[in-house]
Amino acid sequence: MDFTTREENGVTIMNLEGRLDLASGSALKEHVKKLFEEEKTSIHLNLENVEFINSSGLGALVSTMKEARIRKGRLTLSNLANYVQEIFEITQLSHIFEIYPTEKEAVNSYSQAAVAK
Amino acid sequence: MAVYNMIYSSVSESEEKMLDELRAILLKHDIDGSLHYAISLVLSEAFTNALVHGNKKDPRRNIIIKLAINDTEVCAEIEDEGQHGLEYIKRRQPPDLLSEGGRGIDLMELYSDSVEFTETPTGGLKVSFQFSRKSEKETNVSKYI
Repeated sequence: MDFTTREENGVTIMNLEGRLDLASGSALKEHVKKLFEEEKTSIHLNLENVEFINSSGLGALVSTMKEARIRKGRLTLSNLANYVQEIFEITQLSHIFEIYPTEKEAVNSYSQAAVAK
Repeated sequence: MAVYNMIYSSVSESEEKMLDELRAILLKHDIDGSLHYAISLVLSEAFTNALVHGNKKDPRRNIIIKLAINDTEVCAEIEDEGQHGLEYIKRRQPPDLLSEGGRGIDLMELYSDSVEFTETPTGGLKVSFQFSRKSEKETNVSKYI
């Protein structure tokens, strides 16, 4: 799996590409851990190019989300392919993740949340 | 009936290799779309279980996959070289929503037409799957959504 990372309006956006499984899930957790250590706690993951996800990949996302909560940050997801969305629904993880149809909507939600505060 | 035998070392990188080789085999038999995805998901879940829980990531232990494909079905077996794997399956508890693991068995059951767990003569775990080759795979998932 490949990660590309960029900043937009204070949100760190990661584009994930490839399979999200045991090995790449561990790599993702390490990558996000470094972002947290750099005080970057508003993180968005664009999953548009994730071609495959299994329970190990889901576990990595859950771990990342829990770490974000501990650090009073946020983790959002967007652009889930149909089969990825299906796995989120059957595992009920769609209830605990903030999932947006598009990256733009997800990133906008951070500024809207800041205004609301 | 086309039969494929594959053996992998118990290191994390083997899963990628297995999925690449599985993709090539399935495409060779014109298995694409949702059935391709279901088979890949189920085998990856069994593979991860064998790697982590069965063989405990010991690179000296192997994960053995047998795949049989004909016009009507795909059958697969995954064996590890661990111990007491069947007990682990019997003892498992449903995961909490915020658990980082424990969802693999449920996904195996939902995305295959049948799954069976047995113990090998040496105490390892063998998981056997069957997938029906319908024109467009209808997984068991739809009834849960």
